[in-house]
Amino acid sequence: MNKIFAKQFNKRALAFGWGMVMAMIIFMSTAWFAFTTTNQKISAEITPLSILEDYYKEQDRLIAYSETSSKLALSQSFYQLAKDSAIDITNSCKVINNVMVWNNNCHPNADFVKQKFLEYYDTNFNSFMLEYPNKMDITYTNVLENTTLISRASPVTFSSEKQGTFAKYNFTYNFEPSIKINLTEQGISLEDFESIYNKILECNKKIECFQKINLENWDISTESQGSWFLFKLKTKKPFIFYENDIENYAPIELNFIIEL
Amino acid sequence: MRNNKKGQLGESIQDLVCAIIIILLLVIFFIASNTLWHGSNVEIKKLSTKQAITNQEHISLQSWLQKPVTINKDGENDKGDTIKISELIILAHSNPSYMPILNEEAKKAFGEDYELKLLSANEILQKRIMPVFAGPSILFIPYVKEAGTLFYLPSRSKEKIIFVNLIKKK
Repeated sequence: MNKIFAKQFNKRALAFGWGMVMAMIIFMSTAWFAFTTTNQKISAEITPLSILEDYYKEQDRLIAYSETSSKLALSQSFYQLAKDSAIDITNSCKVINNVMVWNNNCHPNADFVKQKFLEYYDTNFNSFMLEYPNKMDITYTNVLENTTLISRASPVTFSSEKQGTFAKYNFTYNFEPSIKINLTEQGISLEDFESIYNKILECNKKIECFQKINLENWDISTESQGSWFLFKLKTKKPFIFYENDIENYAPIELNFIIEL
Repeated sequence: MRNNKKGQLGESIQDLVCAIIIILLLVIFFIASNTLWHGSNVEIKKLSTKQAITNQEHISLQSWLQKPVTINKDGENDKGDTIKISELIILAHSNPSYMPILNEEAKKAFGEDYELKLLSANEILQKRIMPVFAGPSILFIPYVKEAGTLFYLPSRSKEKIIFVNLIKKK
C-alpha cells in the first residue's frame, strides 16, 4: 500500500518538476522575445525617420545648390551676351578696334537676345549642375516667360531598401527641384539692349543727344572718335561672373560703336 | 503512516512555495529588466536629441544662406551692395578679403559655439554607422561623424564645389 502511494507521489513530483522546467522555458523565451521585438520595433521606427530626414536634407541641399547655380548662370549669361554687344557675332558685323558696330544690319533684337541668353544659360546652368557632388539624373527645361526664368526639372526619386528581421522596408521619396527666378529682381533686363538701340536711333546721330541718353540700369560713358562714336556702358549693379575661370564681382560692361 | 502523510504534505507545500518563489523571481526579473535595463530607451532618447540638434542646425544654415547682407559699403551715404550669404561665400572662397565679413555674419548668426568652414571634397568626412547597445540586441544607426551640417555651393574657380560646413566647437 505504502509502496503504491510512494510510486504515485513520485510520479506527481516528476510531473511537477517537468512542469517547472517547462514554465521556466516559457518565461525565459517570452522575456527574450519581448526584448528583441521591442528593439526591432524601435529600430523599425527610428530607421525610416532617419532615412526620411536624410532625404529631406538632401532635397534642401539640391534646391539650395540649384538656385545658386541658376543665379550664377544668369549673371554669367548676361555677361556673355553683353560681351557679344548683344548681337549675333557669327554674322559678318563690322568691328572697329575690337568693338562691335551697331548699324541697320547688326543691332540688338529682342527675340535674338532672349534666344541667345537662354542658350548661354542652358550651357552655364548644366555645367554647374554636373558638378553636384551626389550624382543625380535631372533634366532641366529652361523657359523664359516675360521676365521670369523657369527651369522645369524632371522628378527626382530617392529610394532605398532595408531588410529588417520580420520585414523588408522600401523607401521611395519623390520631389521636383524646379526653379523660378525673376530676372528683374536679379538686376537683369534683357529688353534694355533693344531699347538702348532705339534710343540711339531716336537721336538721329546727333552727338549732344547721345550724351543725354539716360538709362535706368546702366551708367553711360561716351567717346567721340571722329567718324564713329564709342559707347561704354556699365551696369549699376555688380554681378558675379567668370572670365577664363577667374571670378569677378563687378559691373557688366557693354561696348559698341555707332558710326556717324 | 500519519507522520509519513504529514511529511509528504509538508514536502508538497514546500515544493509549491518554491515554485511560487521561482515564478515571482521570474516576474520580478522580467519587470526589473524592462525598467532598469532600459539601454534602448536611453540610447534612443540620446539619439533623438542629437537628431533634433542636427535638424535645427540644418534649418539654421539653410535659412542663413538665404539671408541678405550688405557689402562694399564706403561711408554712411553709400548703400553698398546687397547680396545673399550664399553669394558672399562664393566671393569669399576666391577672394579672402571677404572672409572677415563672412566670419562676422557667421558669428552673429550662430554665436561662439559654432564654426563655419569652407571645405574641399576630400576634407568632408564620410557617413558612418554607429552600433547602439539596446538590451540584448544591437542597433546599427547611420550618422555623420563630426561632419556637422553641410550645404554645397557652385563655383568655377579651382574647386568646382564649395562645401559649407557648420560644426559645433568641442
